[in-house]
Amino acid sequence: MKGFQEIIFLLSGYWGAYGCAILQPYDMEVGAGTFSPHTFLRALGSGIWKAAYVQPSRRPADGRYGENPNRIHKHHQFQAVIKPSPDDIQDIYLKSLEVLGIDYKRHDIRFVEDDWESPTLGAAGLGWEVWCDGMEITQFTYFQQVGGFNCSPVTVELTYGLERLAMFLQKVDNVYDLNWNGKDGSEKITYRDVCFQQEVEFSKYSFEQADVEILKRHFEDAERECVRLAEKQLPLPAYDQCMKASHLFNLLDSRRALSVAERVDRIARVRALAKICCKTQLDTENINRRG
Amino acid sequence: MNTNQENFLLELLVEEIPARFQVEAIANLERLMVEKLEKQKIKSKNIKTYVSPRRMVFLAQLERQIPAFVEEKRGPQISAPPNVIAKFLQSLGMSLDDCSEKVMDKKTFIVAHIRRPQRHTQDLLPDVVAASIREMQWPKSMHWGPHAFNFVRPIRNILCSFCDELVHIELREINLESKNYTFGHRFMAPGKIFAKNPSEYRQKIKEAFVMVDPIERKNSILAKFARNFSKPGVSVDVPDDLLDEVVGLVENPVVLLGQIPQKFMQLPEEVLVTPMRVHQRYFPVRRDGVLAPFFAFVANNVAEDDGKEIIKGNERVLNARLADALFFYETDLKKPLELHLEDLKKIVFNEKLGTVFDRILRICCVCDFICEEMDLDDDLRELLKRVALLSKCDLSTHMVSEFPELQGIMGGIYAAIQGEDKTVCSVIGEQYKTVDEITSLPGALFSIADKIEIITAFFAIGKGPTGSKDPFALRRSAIGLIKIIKKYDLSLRLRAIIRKTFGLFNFLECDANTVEAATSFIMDRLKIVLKESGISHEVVASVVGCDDDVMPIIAKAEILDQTLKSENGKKLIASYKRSKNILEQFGDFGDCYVDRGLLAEDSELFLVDELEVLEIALEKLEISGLDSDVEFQTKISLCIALEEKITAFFRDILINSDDKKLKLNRIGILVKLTSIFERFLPEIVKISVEGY
Repeated sequence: MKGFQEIIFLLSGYWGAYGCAILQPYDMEVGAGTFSPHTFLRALGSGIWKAAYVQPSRRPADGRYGENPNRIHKHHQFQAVIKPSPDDIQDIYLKSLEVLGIDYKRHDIRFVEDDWESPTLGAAGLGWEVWCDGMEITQFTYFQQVGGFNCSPVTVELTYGLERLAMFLQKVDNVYDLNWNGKDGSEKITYRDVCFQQEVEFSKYSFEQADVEILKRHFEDAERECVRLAEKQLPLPAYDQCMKASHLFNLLDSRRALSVAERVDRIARVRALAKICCKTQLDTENINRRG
Repeated sequence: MNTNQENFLLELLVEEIPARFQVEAIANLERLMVEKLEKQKIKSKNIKTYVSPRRMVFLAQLERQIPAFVEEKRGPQISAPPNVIAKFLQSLGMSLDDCSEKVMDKKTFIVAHIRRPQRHTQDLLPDVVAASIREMQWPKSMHWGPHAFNFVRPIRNILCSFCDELVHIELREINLESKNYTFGHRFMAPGKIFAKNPSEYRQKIKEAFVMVDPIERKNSILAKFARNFSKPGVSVDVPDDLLDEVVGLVENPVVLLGQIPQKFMQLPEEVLVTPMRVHQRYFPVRRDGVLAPFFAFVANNVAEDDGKEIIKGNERVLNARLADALFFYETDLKKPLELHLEDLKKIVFNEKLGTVFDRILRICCVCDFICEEMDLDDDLRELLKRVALLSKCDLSTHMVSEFPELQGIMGGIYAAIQGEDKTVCSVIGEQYKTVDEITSLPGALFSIADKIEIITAFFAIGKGPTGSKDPFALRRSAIGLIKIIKKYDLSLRLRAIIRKTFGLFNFLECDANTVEAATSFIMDRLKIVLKESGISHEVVASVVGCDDDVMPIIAKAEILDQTLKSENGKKLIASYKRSKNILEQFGDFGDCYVDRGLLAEDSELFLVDELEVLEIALEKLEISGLDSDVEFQTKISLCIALEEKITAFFRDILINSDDKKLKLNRIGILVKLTSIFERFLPEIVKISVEGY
């Protein structure tokens, strides 16, 4: 039995051996691994980059109080990013599945068109969702644009949905039944043991308790701070504020506190922040980087 | 076979090409290859092209050599200044002796005869292929790696051979050189496959588990369906678009069959089918027309365990989706539809236009306006109001939140379960469907109300479509509106209903201009609908705008179109035109009237008699109260009946008579003739002016 954590070890080992810097999760709330500056800002500019990391990703609106076997407010993504994208990246990726024990002689792996677009990040890419026996297990994306800027060289991003992958490998139908540590009997720690409480409580928080006025105020603060820091030529601190604004927007959304027009407006505001951060990152490409 | 014909093989291996682009892509490649071969005068035959998710294949026989030939190149005219002629000759490195003269369009040109030596196709192919690849067009394309090159997905290999020899192609911009090999099925035969010519390629690629021919893949899937579902009464739903997509997702189609747990079979058919088809690309199976607890799907791999794990995996995915759906369904059923109105009061439709609930109230009113206008009975009126009230309630159900494509359909299903009238349910269920799928008069009426409300609403807040911008798809709504009116032959004065609808936005100031803008916006769509049905631009321009009601306009357009296509109709227009032209020649002739005493010839006497009879008949017709299309048709028939007399008049009568009195009298006859047209058939006048 491959425990949830072993999948992380195997992927980290594989991508580490490939030459990726294995990083720790970014220490802020993000909606997806793509939001991490290790992907988002690194996709800009001319430098080369190879990194892999787990990113716990919060999507307040996906919370289901621990009652849905597939939907959770916080899931884990394993993210590998490489710039420029290597010629044999599909093969390199498929080998990582083999390392996880997926036998191509017994499974059906497919690359199904799925173009990725993030309105809040002003980012777009082309690629596929990778299907294993009909289940989407990875998003495979060649970044084309970030913050409205064209990417050159192109970064390839592989995002494994760890819960789905684990459910597939452990053959379980309920995410909470996942074996986390790979042990049996009384030594076993499950996904339920680790995550159930947070699913219940954060569902209550994001649907019922989050204070809308405070969220709105924090959104304005983050917005103002982001712009100010970008003016000071500090793209990383500015981008932290952009991520905050994005998460606050997601919370407002899950609280259903926004009308359609307000929603559109706030998405545009976060996108504007992302754009400012990207511009600052590009403007400062030759300073601040190596010390 | 011509001994000069040699085998050519080209395969581009690309990372998975989206299914929806494949067919157009291979046609594009073929077009470019053929164009470039022709430009090089390389003769080709037996061209065959194939496309799969990973490959674009072009096979042909090409002439080995292009024989020497003399190319004629036209230069300047013989009369051109000497330096121009010298420049022309210099550019070709030729003297005037190598040229001849040629007369074209009465001008004499210098023509150079350039000797083109024999060339070898082998030498020309690298440029032909490279240029074809570079010039391919895509609806959506991308960059990859460090390269500044656009293609649908990264190109990974080029296999190219002519006369069994490698054709050396270099795409420097992506650092790729052609090879004498490709790769087989991604998982079943991932190694190198060497091929020197089309027949070897066909055989080896097949052995490597790849069906490159999409038609073969399609037939193979259909044959396997037929074999798997051969029992009487058993069938599988195979919509063309889904089949085509699946054909573009596999190189080696393997049909497998999964099971659906019985507990999900209580779900309505649409709820079962949507995740199957849309989300998973599965094919629903039926027994005696009813959904059976099975689904067919197409894998890309022949698995060691005959696909047992693949089936289990796919079943698990579908089960998870259906478990969600079942949960939503059971939860939704606990709440009567009306109670969702409370939720709709909170969903803002548009800042200025209020909530979805506000919209429902307006649609109710528009239904009323339509019933008044058409003088419909109270039962129908009540039914439409019930529909309007419940129509959008499914928007806040769990099921529609999760599967937005089920909007309307779920409303219909939930309404039926809570015991609503059958027609009410079917109208709710049909509301988002196309005109062809609307099956009842109430459905048509509700759809009209829904569309008039949305068009009027956005015009009321100044958000009508401009240029290419039509964010609320109002054009589509207006075209749908007209098609429904046409299909159900409904009599509706649109302007009146739109004016009343504007009255519902009491918080806004709507002037007559806005009413006019919305009405003429719809009338402009009517023009499009008429043109689509093959009616000429001139006819459309002459009839639209003459009425507020759509049906009489359509009827008039059709009558007029038929008239203009008939011999008599053409003559009628010609007669009017001729009269008008003659009158123009005489310029200003002052007032004139017909003096019967001056009618010297039979032909003019007969015509004048007939014109008088005709005028009275037309006047009577206009107050007869006939349907406007019948009236219009009769008017045209009456005028056509006069044609013989008009022809005789023009044949026998000299208008420009020396006798000034006779001349003026005859002009008077023509004035009478044209004025009858202008008064009773302005459409004909309009058409003849606009130069039919």
